[in-house]
Amino acid sequence: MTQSVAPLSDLKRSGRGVSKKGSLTRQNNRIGLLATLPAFLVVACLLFLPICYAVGISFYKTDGVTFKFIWLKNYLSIFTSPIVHQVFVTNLKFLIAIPFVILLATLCSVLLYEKIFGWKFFRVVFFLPTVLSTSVIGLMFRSAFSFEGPVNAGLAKLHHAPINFFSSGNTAIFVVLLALIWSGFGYASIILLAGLMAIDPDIFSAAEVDGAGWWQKVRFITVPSIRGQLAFVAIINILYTFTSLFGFIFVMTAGGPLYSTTTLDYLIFQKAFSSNDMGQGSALAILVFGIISALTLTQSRYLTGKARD
Amino acid sequence: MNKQMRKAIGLVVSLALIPAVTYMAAPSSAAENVTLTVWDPGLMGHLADGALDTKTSFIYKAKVAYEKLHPNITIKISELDGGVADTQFRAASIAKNGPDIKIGFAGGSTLSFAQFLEPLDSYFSGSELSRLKGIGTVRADYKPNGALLALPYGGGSYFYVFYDKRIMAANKIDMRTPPKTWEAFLALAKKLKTAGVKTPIWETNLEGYTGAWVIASLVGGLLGPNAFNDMYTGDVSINSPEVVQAYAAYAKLYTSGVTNEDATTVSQGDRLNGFTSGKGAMIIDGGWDNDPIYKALGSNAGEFAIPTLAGSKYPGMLAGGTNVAVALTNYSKHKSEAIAFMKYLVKPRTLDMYVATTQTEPSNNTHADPSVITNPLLVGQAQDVRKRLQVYPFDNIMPGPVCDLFYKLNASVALGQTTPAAAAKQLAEGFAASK
Amino acid sequence: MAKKISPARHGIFLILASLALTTLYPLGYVLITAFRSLHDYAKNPYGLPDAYSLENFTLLFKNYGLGLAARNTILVVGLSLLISLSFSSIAGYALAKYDFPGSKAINISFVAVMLLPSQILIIPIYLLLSKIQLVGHLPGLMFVYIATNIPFGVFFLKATFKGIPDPIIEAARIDGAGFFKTFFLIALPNSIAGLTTIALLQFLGMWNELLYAYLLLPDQTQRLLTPALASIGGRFVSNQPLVAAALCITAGPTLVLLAMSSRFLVRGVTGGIGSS
Repeated sequence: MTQSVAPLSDLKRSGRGVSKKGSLTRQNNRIGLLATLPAFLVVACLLFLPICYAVGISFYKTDGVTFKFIWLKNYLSIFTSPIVHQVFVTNLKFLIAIPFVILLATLCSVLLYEKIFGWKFFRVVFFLPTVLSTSVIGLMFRSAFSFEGPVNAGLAKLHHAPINFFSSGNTAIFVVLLALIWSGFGYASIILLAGLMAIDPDIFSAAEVDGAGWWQKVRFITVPSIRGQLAFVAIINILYTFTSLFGFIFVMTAGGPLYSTTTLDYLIFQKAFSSNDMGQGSALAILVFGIISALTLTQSRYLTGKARD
Repeated sequence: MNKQMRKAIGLVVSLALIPAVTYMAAPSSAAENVTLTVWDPGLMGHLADGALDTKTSFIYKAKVAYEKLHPNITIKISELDGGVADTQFRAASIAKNGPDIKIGFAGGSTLSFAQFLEPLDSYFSGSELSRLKGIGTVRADYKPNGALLALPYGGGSYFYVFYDKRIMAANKIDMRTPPKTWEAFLALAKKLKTAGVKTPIWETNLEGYTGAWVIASLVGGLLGPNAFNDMYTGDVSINSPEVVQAYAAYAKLYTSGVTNEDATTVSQGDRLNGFTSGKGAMIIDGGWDNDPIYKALGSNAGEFAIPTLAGSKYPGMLAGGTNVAVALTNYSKHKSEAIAFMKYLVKPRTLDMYVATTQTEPSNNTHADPSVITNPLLVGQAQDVRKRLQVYPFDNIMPGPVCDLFYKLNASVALGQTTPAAAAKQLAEGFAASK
Repeated sequence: MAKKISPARHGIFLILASLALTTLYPLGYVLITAFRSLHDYAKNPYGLPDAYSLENFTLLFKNYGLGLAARNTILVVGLSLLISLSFSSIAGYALAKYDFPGSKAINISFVAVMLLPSQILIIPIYLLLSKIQLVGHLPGLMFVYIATNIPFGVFFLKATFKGIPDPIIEAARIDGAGFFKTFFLIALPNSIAGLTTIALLQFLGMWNELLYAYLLLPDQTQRLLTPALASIGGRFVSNQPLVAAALCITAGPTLVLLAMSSRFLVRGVTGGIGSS
């Protein structure tokens, strides 16, 4: 669905959030549990049960009606499938977007923080792509980069031969990457901006007194103090790369040429929805879940660990 | 604190009740009144600017007429989104709350849902079935004695090249005898190109559909009417010299410079519009676009079936066939009422109404009235269907995942990224893996 | 806070402005295209139109039953949002400020759900809902929207409520205020920005959702707005002006909401007043 925002205080673990538990009584315990219960029950009923079902069928060959237990065959066939390997590499290629998103977002947020002329306007404009659905964005990029589209019209004015962007895997990935960066940097800027707002302005004035220039301030004060937010932006973007490219791919390339722009979530979608591969789709999704969890854990450990130094 | 807990519980319960209250149980129907649900993934509904136009949609006309004849029957039609229709039907069928009647594609698609479909053999007499053409496309495993999983609906659509007569006339090309071979077709396109026509063939093959139609025609010409049935049963290998030969000839379409430069990256959605707005002299397409092409070009629209390769064993093979099938679900609670409606649907006069309304395919009932065909393009196609041998295409026969691979390979061959030999080999492997 | 403008900042301003242009230009293009006739568009797709017309919008309203779709959408999205936010905020508050047995497990389970590729849940969720007779009814879709939005909602609001300084809540507790009193009188009023932000994000998620909306409501009379309009934005329709008009109708409300809530956004993601 939408991208996710910040568990900022979680990531910062600044010590401030740890509350004194001394005053809590057993009744408070019960209230706390009771208060989480409605949310938990809804999620348990509507999501945990289906998840169990999905985990279950990952050990079966099934079309939804007949079930044949095949142990780990679904998992094994994923590991040996050349298509899955190729798709996994494609997903890694999409990670290229993340440094660009972070770089662009850092630049924008620093400038917005400094209240550059028109910052209120920029703040809204940069966030605009976030409210558009991926299929809308996909459609826009698709027509912009089509053979007779405005981008090629621009190239023609520069006396450059038109490029058939969607005819090869790498140029198609390039366009999807642009769409990813374009639609992601505004959201990241807002999160980073939020982190910047939390910095004590006195630190900057002190640095200025010491004769620090703009770049030095960014390098030694700004970036280190928003490390938590940077980590968060990196994590949600990785998450996004592995789970939410579907809309872009579906609209822009349909996964082709051949499998060159097929991503893991697109493949899961196709398998989960095709007649005889429901079990394999589930197995693939569970493996992707494993990858994402591992990445998220290591990254948040690494970055928060560093932030605490 | 008890009070607080009660408050908490009260809040939870009241919030949880909101949806439950809004959900009102469906009124239990009186015993004699029966509602039949029909799911149609846009095959029998007519879209005008993307929206359903019930006045020009065959299935809605049939509904109105049938309800008038049978006041105790209500027919409820749901037009499904084509993209999720299969998933929707599968999920609903596993849960046994799908429709009574399912409209869908004949061939591989219908066969893939066999486990949810009621075999129809016992409901229809031999003479009733003998009046319908295309029964073989909806029998389990395409075997003559396989269970009848649906009723074929309509004479099917076939793959054609449409052209603008004015452009041909302006370039002094005599189309009274259209090209008889694939090579002659490409030569004709080249002739137009040298004569200064910018785009002889307007092509939109991002998804690889053109490939499906061309390969069907070319391989059909080489291997005969059962070419793809034999591949399905394994009697003929997909990785055969004929398939490689057909792929090589198809690839020439894109290397001869007779299409638009972006032929391989324009989407199917632009095919018809591009042609009717004058982007090319010809398009490769099918009978499903008869109506809009005739509306746009009028009597200037010409057509000829996608020609076969020179030296084909079966020259003039017509590729295409039964497209639509009407099935009954095996969990339907109103089977006898649904069968009665299906019998009504395949009556000669109802099928005539279908043909008259859609003008995309002839009737498949032997007692059809040919005079309902008013679109000259369809008149020509109906003549060809009577005169020529026909081959049922690869992607009508094969299961979904194999078709998806087929389309991808077609697009890739057109791009020159997969060789004809590699395409045939990968397709054969994909088919073997799907079993 | 206004600063003196140096030449370097001019350059940076230009960069920002051109970035903004890449966002505004396509949106403006879609907006203009929506008000052109197909004929006018075909003549010169990337130029300015000769004449503006409302025909695409009238066509959409005439053919699509948008009134009914709008009613369904308001019902489904409105109620789902309300319930999802209520449950998430109460749970988020409890997890942020109360330490009780099982809180960690609940927390982890919510995070885990967010990391799972959601495509595989579609058929199981469908089967579950059909077991309780909710397929084909608006509440079925509401349940799905509520359930899928709660994990992130809890996660986000927990962070927001953590930002409220403990002493404020402790003081109220000493005065005898219980869970709900502190929740309604302290936690909520101090978290308006966070609540607005998560409400906007969840609204966007529900508003733009297509798959469940199609699958769970096969009946046309129950279509929601975005799915009803999305069919013409599909791959196989090439009436661009009509597609553009549909985009305008779907994106319009989200843009208006964004404009209205933009001042809360930055504060919203800072995780409450505590961080600033």
